[in-house]
Amino acid sequence: MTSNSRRNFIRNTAVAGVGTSLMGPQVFTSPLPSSRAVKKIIVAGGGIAGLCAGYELMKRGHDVTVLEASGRHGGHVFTARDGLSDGLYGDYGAEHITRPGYERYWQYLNELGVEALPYPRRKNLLRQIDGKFYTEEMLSDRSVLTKMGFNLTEVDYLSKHPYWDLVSLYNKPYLDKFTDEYQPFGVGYDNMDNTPIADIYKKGGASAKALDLLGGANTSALFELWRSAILKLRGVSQFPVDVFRLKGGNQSLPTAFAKKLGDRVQLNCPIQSIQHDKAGVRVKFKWMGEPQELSADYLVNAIPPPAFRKIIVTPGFSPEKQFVLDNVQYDSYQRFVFQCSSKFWEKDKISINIEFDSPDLWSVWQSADEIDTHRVIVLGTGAGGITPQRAMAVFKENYPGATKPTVEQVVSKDWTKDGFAPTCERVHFPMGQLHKFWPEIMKPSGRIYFAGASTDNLNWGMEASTRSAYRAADEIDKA
Amino acid sequence: MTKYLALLSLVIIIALSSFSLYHQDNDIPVVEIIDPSNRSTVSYGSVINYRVNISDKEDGTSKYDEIQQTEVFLQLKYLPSEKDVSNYLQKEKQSEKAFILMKQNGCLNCHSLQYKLAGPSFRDIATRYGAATTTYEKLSEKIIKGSHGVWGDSQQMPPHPDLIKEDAVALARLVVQYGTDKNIDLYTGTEGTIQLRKNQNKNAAVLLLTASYLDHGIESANRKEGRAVAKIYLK
Ligand SMILES: Cc1cc2nc3c(=O)[nH]c(=O)nc-3n(C[C@H](O)[C@H](O)[C@H](O)COP(=O)(O)OP(=O)(O)OC[C@H]3O[C@@H](n4cnc5c(N)ncnc54)[C@H](O)[C@@H]3O)c2cc1C
Ligand code: HEC
Repeated sequence: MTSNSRRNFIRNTAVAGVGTSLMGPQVFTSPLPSSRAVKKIIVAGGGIAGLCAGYELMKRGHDVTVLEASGRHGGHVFTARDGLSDGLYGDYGAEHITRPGYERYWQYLNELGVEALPYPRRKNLLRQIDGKFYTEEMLSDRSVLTKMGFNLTEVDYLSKHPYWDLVSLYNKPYLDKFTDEYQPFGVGYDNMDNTPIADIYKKGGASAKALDLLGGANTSALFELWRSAILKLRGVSQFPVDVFRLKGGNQSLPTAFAKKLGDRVQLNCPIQSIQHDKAGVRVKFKWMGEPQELSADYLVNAIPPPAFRKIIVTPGFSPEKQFVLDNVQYDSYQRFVFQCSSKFWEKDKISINIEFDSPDLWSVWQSADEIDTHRVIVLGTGAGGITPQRAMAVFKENYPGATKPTVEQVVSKDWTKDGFAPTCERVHFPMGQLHKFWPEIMKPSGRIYFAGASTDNLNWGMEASTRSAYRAADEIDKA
Repeated sequence: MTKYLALLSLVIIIALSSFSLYHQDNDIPVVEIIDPSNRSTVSYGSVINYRVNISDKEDGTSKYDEIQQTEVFLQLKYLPSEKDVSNYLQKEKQSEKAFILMKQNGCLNCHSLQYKLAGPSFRDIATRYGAATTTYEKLSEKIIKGSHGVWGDSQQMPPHPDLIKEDAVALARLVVQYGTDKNIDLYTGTEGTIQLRKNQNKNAAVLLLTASYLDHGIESANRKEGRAVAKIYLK
């Protein structure tokens, strides 16, 4: 550690807390290179969060090294081209963004000149419910809705609002009280962390059909109302329909960060242990199989907790931090990429944005349509452990049109089987435990700072990654 | 000349394929625990690195990254004394088959003993339902048919329609067994770092490490498991 940064540290021995006002609108501008001392920082993990944190720190004049375990950077933002014809591609991981809602992310797109395209994957959704397919038109038809079992109020509401917005009928009255999207507490619902959100729907008069659709028997009302309020505060609907993706695949943004970082990003460097004290950090890792060591003033952990747990940290974390690291929960599933020889659904005059009610294949939609070819990419999401062949069979069997899907090949990424990152997205915090996770999940521990999709308020992964990376970089810069 | 080479390679291909036709036997993978070394002594609470080598005639070797990391398991079992080792190994034979089923079905991609992954930890499952024949019966249904809404609202367990009832019951039993045993842990990957227990529990003087790998057989049939055991003394 340089003597300068040591002095800097002494001046700020109280580690900066995480201010809740940190994320006001003013932060969406770019900082000037700081005039503070140059700090040496190791960023653990080269996913979008680690790369973004590295880029932010570099921009502020610090000396950064990003250590990534696998042979590619980008983590869960992963655009696959291998084996696909005609220059087509498919996003194995993160696949869409919204506007508004992804403010920090869009700021980086502008800054780095990365182009976003409209992505109509949620338009004209065809939904399979109890085996039967419904268009959006059908799902706003009073007689259809009544027959499905919705009550009169719900039928009224859904005849004027989109099907996915049913939740607003019941949670809308609660949302106005939240004014700061980073502050779920103290708005009057603190006692509702042990109440299932389903109870709120029941209290509002939800029918059995609505309760079945909305679920929420295991979700904290406080958490869920906060989540909905965050969307409202960001100006997005409960299920944004006008979404976007990046031209050439979503990996374009991590790649743009990495390009700026150059050889500061080191691949094939799995971290094995981290030692830290008041003066700095020391990291043991392997490079091309050989043991290595690196010291620095600070570390940004941008590895998701389930993978981070495998790294031994000495001294250990406080019980509060350890609880968060041990208990933050993720879902995990599989992405299928169907390469088709035509837009077969057009013949049937139906939408390819389909939600199936199969446990194996959950949904499909078109992507990569800017590539100049008659071939098309249809992406799908489904369960882990399902073979691509089975997914293809389910697709062909359940597809509602008369034409046979013209699938030429299917490739997939089963995240449940990934060696370094077996997770997908953070899910809700368990009932009654919000105060244990929030804001602890964002807080630094000594010289270790936390970034990554799990360490922000909302689980919209790529925005949470860029926001948290910015936050961690800012905290270290100012420390 | 090129014509001759092409012809020769054709002959070789034919020779190779006919060879595999007559040689359908799948070899057992060779599993070795390189670190820590067998019968070494380490202190309570210390951090040790482990390294396992796998080599399988059909699948390849871990040295060349031909073995999938998530398919290599290292089981840790703390035992009160040396004399409990053979007893334990004997007893463990009964759950060997269920553990193989667990590997075959990728259960451990979504579950771990002590942490939540996509699915609940075996510890949480065992705490919730306890050990009883009715529990195994009930959980076996869930394993076959899939499950949604018990442990959260946003994850679901896919069905495992190819499992027969008897195997699903054995799996449920193993889930609860692993979830109840406070002296057991499971790591994945050919290498990693282990934080050893502190000596709070005077009952753990020996740590038994069992590394195992289930190979892919020949076109997924006739899969075989290789194992290696190392005994570590704690002081
Ligand atoms: C199928 C799928 C669909 C998704 N859809 C969307 C979407 O539409 N919109 C959206 O915003 N988000 C989406 N997400 C979520 C989003 O992709 C993630 O939240 C985000 O990419 C996580 O970024 P991260 O940098 O926090 O973590 P990661 O991407 O997981 O990066 C962590 C990195 O750390 C590395 N690592 C692990 N262990 C070590 C070690 N010991 N040493 C060094 N490095 C290590 C990993 O290899 C990895 O590269 C989706 C995710 C998936 C999987
Ligand atoms: C793709 C991920 C995934 C795989 C693979 C998987 N599970 Fe699960 N499992 C889950 C999830 C998610 C849950 C929680 C479901 C719920 O909340 O109802 C779960 C729940 C369970 C439960 C508790 C069920 C209950 O009613 O409480 C058991 C037992 C179980 N799994 C065993 C297994 C076994 C055995 C296997 C392998 C044959 C397996 N799981 C494979 C994700 C998975």
